[in-house]
Amino acid sequence: MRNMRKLLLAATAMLVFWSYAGTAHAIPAFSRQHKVECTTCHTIYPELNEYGEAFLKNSYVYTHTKMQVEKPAPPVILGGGGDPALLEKLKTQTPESAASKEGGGPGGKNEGLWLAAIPEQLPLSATATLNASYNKDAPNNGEFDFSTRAFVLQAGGNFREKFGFFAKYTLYSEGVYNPSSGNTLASNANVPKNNGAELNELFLTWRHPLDTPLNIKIGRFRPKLSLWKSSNKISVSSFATQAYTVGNSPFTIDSPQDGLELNAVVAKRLFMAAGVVDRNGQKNKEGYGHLSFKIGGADFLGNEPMIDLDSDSIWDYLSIMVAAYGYSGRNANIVGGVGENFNDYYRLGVDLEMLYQKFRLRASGVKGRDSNPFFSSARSYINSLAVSTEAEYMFDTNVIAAMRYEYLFDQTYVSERHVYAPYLAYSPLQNIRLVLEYRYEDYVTPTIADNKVANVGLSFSF
Amino acid sequence: MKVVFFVWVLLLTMMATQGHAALKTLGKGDRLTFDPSGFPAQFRPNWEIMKVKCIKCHTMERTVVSITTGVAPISGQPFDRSATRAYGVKMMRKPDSNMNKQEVKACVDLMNWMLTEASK
Repeated sequence: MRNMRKLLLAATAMLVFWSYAGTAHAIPAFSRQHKVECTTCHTIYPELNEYGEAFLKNSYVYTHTKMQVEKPAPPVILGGGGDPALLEKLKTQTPESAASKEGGGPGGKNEGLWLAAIPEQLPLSATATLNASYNKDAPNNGEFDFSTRAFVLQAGGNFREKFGFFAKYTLYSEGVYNPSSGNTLASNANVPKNNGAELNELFLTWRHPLDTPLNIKIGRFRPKLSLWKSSNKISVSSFATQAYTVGNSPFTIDSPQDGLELNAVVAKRLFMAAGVVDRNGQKNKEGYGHLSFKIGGADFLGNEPMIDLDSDSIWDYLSIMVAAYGYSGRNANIVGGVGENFNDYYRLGVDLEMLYQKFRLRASGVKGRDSNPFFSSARSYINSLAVSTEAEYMFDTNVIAAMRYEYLFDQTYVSERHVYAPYLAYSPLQNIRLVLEYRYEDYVTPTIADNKVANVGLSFSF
Repeated sequence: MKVVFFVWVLLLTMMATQGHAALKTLGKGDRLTFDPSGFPAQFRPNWEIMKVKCIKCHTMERTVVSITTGVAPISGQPFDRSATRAYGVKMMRKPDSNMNKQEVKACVDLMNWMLTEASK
């Protein structure tokens, strides 16, 4: 009976936390704006499919429509002086775009909004994450925890396809997610305290200035390093390569940063990005670069590959993406507004993604070095390594199962471990996701107890 | 007499064109679909595939609008023969579409025929 109760508890329990750092990047604002279903860009949200990747890389613009916008409009003669017939003529001669078809253009419902480049609909949406975890050996005596992990507002879209924008504002978040122990205690009060509101991302991208292939992104954003943003996943916990930290340094390769980034899609299948980061009060600039290439499948502009419908080829369904990236930075212990005991660090990473019909394989490796990650006056460097691999299979439109293996190492040797994490995701409706995940963390050091955590994550967006 | 004969030929031609060009639809809104009664016999099997596969992820209304207006309603792109092929390939590669190459080819062939009919 006791075991039964535990099982029941564990099964129910697993209503998980969301790794609150990894809340959805998929936002219903895009669905509303473009009148499309979530699965246009996602498998189970917020994991992106290749069209979602193209949409993201092109700053939230349907790339197919751009070709149409770029069509030269027939020359028109201005100076009609309020002639309604001429106005109608001008409207018919304006190149069409998806925006105009949706009522934002001259031929649409609201010409004033289109001229002002203001989206017809307020591009706002929200995502809520409710979590639960079960950890028999939880250090805080909380074997089983329910928690409302986060409530996040998002806004995103484009201004007449010239500028893209995105904002993510965490209205509420509880505690800190730690995959080793599940939910941490947030408060003893009946209603746990909010961590505090936080502007997670806010950036503007100038698309193709002066008709160059470049995009200029400025604001607070996650520097383009890995192939995938930390939110581009279905599981509850983040990929180790994206989430691991060393010592007391808060840096991860997917941390939001204040900076400037240049990126471009070159020859449709090559994506390049480079940027500088300079936080308020930071003395030395940080820099990063990313290079990725795609073979097979839709290109980075969302164009379909040329496939012969009369004969078969392995490239009908196969696509491979590879990426390499690096980041060099410096952080410090801030005392009285002044940094001391600096830590110079770098990360180098490689990613691989292979997609074949319903099967997706992701592999990622990051190597790093921190000169003083404990911000100590007695400096000592630490090398680190993280490897993540995940095999995922889509059983149906709304059911995905996956197995993840990860390895983490740093020279403190206290956190070297192998992680095995199978999970199952179910999406009863496209804007609702339920994930059941089990994590077994096998520490190499025999004196450190292994972790066995079951998580259930529920999130919904609207 | 020649004039009367010419008028008859003209009228018959117009009637014949009207009868052939009509790509008929049934229903309204989300239930809008094609009326297959006018499809040539060789495309009937194609329709049997299309009517099942093309409503798995979206309504048939989207396809009807694309073909009858020549504009894809979501992207605003022209919906022509190259578009039917591109969408077909996209659906074939979409993991959850459950369409194989033969089924995609059948749908593309039928849509191309529909485009021709719709343009008459």
